[in-house]
Amino acid sequence: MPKSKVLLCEDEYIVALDLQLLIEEFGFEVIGPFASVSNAMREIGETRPDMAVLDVSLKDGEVYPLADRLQEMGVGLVFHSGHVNDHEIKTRYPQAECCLKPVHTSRLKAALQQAAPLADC
Amino acid sequence: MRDEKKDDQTTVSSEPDRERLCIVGIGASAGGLEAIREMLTEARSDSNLAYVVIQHLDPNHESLLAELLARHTALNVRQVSGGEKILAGNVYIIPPGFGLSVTNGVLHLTEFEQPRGLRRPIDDFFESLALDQGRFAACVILSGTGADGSAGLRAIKENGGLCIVQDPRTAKYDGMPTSAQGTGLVDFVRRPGDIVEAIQQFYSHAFIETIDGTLANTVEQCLEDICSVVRNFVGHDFSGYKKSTLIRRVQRRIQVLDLRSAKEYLDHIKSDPQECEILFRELLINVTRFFRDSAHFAALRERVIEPLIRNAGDEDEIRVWVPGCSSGEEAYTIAMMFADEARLQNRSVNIQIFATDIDEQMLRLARDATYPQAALIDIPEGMRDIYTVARDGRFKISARIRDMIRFSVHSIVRDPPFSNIDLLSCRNLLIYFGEKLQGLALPIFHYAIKPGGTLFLGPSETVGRYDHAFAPLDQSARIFQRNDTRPEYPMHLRGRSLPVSGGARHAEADRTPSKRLDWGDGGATERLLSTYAPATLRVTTAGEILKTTGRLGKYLEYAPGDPDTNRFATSIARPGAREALSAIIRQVSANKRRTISRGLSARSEFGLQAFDLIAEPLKDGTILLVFRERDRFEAYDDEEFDDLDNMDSHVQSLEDELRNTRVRLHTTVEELETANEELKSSNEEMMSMNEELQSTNEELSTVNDELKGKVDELSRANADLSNFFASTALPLVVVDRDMSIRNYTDAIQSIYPFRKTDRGRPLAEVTSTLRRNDEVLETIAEVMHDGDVRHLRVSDRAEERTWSLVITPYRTRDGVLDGATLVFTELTDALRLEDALQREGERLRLALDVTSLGVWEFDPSTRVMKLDETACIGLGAESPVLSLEEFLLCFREDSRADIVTSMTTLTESGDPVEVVCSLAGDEPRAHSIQIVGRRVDGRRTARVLGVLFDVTEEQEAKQIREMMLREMNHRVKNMFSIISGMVRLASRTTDSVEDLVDGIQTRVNALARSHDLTQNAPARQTLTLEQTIRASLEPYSGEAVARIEGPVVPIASQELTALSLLLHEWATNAAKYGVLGPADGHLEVTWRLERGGHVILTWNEIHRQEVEPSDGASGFGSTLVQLSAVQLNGQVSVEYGSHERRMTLTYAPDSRS
Repeated sequence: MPKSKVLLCEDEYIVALDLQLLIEEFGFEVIGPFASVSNAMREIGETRPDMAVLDVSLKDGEVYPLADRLQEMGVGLVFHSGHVNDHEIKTRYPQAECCLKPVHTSRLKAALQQAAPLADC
Repeated sequence: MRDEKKDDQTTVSSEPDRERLCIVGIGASAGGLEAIREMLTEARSDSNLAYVVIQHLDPNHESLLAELLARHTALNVRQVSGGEKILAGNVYIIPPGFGLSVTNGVLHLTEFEQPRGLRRPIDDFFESLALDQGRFAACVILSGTGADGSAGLRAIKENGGLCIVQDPRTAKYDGMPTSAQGTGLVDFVRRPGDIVEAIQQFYSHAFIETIDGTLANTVEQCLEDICSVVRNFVGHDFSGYKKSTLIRRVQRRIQVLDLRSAKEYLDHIKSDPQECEILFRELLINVTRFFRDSAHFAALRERVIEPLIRNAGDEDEIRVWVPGCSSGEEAYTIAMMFADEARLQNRSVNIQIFATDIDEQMLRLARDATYPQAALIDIPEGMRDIYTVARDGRFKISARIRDMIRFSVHSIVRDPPFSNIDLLSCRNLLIYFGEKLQGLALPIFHYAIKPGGTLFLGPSETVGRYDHAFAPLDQSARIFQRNDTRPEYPMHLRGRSLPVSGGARHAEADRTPSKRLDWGDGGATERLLSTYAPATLRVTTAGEILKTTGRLGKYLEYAPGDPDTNRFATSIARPGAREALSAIIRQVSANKRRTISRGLSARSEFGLQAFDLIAEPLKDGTILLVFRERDRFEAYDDEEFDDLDNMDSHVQSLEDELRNTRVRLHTTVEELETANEELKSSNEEMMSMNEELQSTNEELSTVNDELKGKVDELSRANADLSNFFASTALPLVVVDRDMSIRNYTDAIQSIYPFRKTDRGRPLAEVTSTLRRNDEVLETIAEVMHDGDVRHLRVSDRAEERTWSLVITPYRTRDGVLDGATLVFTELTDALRLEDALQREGERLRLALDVTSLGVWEFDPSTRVMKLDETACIGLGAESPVLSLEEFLLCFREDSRADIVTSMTTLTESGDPVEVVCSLAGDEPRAHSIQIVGRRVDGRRTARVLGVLFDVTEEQEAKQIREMMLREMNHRVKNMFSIISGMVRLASRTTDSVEDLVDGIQTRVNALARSHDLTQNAPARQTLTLEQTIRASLEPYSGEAVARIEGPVVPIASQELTALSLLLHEWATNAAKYGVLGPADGHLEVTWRLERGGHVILTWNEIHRQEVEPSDGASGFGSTLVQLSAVQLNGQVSVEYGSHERRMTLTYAPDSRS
């Protein structure tokens, strides 16, 4: 069975590297990390990820256009947000998972697993 | 000449009576104002009555009558100016200097023909009113002197109208009411206040009565009884009169008395003899005029009078009888025609006219021979001047005519008729008689008229079935000639004694003196007396000879040519008789007894006659003297003749002297009579002057009344004024034209300390508390000069009190400037308040200006918004007064709903408004305005008051703050993520915990420093690359840092973390292994801006010793450097020289900074 592909968007490179390593440790293949929405958009035109871990604000703006596109594609979404209670995300993406910054390893893992079946099953 | 037209009256009116206008003429003179006022106070404006007031007025004095009356009555009062149509509910007042007349219900002014004093405007108006309005005319005569109105009243009554006079006891001057009452034609005598009610009662009765004829029927049933009552009391039987006339007149009385039925009237007349009298008079009301039906009279003159005069002998007497003569006009008409005819034919004929009537009151008028001026027009012009004499507004028939007529009370059907009549004129009397009475009257006429004589009847009368006795001479003029049959004395009169009248009436006939001798017709008696009887004289007590019989030549001596002397018996008695004659006349006139004087002898030229003189007093006061001869006449011889002369010479001379004296006396008497005549005429002049004075007096009294009314009003107004002066707290002074004090209020004391005696003193002399009194005085003078009102502000010397002074010109009623009025209004408190308010206002203005607060005011009832200047500018409004809709247009659409909602809540519940809204406009940066308001409950309506101010900056600051907070939060979270990432990354590469902690701690410190950098940087000033570098190198300062230089490059905040970490890694590395640590050397950090915006940063460690290149790129530190470079969108390279270790960062700075 090939590894599930996880699209990672995070403009803070230290954090991105950390997340990448963590996700890889969980046994997924990481696409990215991308610091900007435009780059990520370009990538998903070529590769279809199974899941995505998204920071809300990226270098070139908020991540929502990308998230919308991913949701249409049926990609499981995990938001990596700085806000404790982000209503906007909950209402726009009711099935998405949220992980608060700074990320907790087990929480991220659980979120990814939660999101994963959508792609796998 | 009675007017037969009266019979038609009940059938004439076609208009419904109920709505018919009734015009009430009111005549008044002195004392009338009060009476009119009392009378009209009771009048209602909704009745069908209109009033015309004829008051004697001074022609030169403007009348206040209308003005004075208008205040006391609900009716419209106006002074007539001519041409007014009389309408119900109005009072029309005669203007001064004019008379009034009415035709077809329209009033006209008439010029007076008579001089002042002879005018009778009341009579004139009443007469025209009577003709115009008939039975819908009423007249009222109120207080006044003289008799104006009495004649007019008669006209009203004759035409069926109503007559009322003021009760003379209530009148100030009772002349007019009493005179009116004297005519006996007055229906009501009332107090002024009850007059209107009487009029209304009369007319309301009239209306009901005309609607149903039942009253007339009951009257008919009782007529017989009523007539018998009248017959018993008055002695005249009216039962033979025409029924319709009787019914109508009785009915009228019932109306006047306000009785319900004829039965009641019968009871009334039985119990009240006075009513009999009134009814009697009422039944005899008549209209008669001079020369009524003038054509008929012309025919009479031509066919009868002219031949009578022509054919009459000198001694003949023409006898005329006018039965039913009433007030005499007919009789005078005939008399004038006879006189005129005699004048034309130049004849002197003895004419005797008997004028008779049963109404003594009418006869009295006839005897008086005075008639109203208005009647003069009926007399042909040629006769007017000759036979009438003008007399104070009336005229009198001249004495010549008057003497031709004998007036007497006489009833045709009851009293014995006159006989031997040449002309009998009986006009408009028979029409009142029923057939039976007519049947009685005509035979009487036949008896009275001598054969061939003439009967003259009224235009609608005929001789009926007696046409065999009277042949028509002129059928159309109703002139008939009696046939020659023997007269038959009317049987019903024979043996009938004069009825004993029940009332006080007593026939007072004029004596009809006979011109014939009393001795009978036979010549025998006369002969006996003249020849055989003793000589007799009838003398007056003065000795004047009235009658002689027998031969008196022996006793009397006629003096030729001297009629005066011959009149007295004593003067012409012969000597011997004279003395006895004088004595016996004296004695008999004194003792009234038959006396005889014996043994006398009278001496004449021829001889001596002895006689006795008998004197006998007669019943009529004269004395009969009989000369009885005692002896034969003795003729004289010569001697005796002489003796006689001598003997009597003394007596003779005395006699002569006496005669002369008498003549002188006679002359004197004549002179006296002339003087007396003169006096009489002066007296008459005086009388007319008196009349004039009297009417002037009346006019004056009217003026006086009016003035009194005015004075009353004035004193009331004066009282009001003085009360005002006493009670007002307004200081006020009135000065006259000389600036002397005329009047002032008590409140003036604080300004001018006036005393009572200061009235009349010049204002300038009075001390004043005013600081600039001179200025006040000057201003008063100016006001009095040009008449303009002036305003002044004055204060007292201490400047503690201030007044506003208004000086208005004082004008008299005719607008002449006659002083000035000064009114002071104290302003001290007001000024103080004004001052305080001004200061308060200034404070508020300042506050508003400083805070740029705009004030607005909203009126919920009109939905109008008022803005002050600041608010206008703030909102960009074009006008300071806006409707709510216009106001809303100043704001963006999304704000408007908020404003409306809060305004409504504010208005309704009073919750204060506080809204922030955005101004409409094209600018990208929207202005925010905060509106704050509160409801202010006023006395009448609540209004909303508030302020508004620009809160754009505050709003923006708030937004920035929120953004900053979000940013900060974001950054902190990021920092945590970075730290936690770093920890995890470090843990992967570090084995010892100590190293891990140390590495992480220094990196966190570096991060903290870079954070400090952002915090410590001055506001709004971007960080530069140099500052960042210096901050990174701060822990190592002073040791080996040789150079830090380069151009100014701004650092964006998102670049700061990465740059700091990178520099930190380099610096720690240098401190651990390089020039900042164990190795000798120094550090140079330089940077430059490349074309294309790239920054090239060079970190050059210059070692003293040679340097060995090492890859050194492994480990966590280099991972961080690599990541940071990527983060900065750049790259890092390392180069080695012999003594150098050079690291270069090339990156493109974030364009967003």
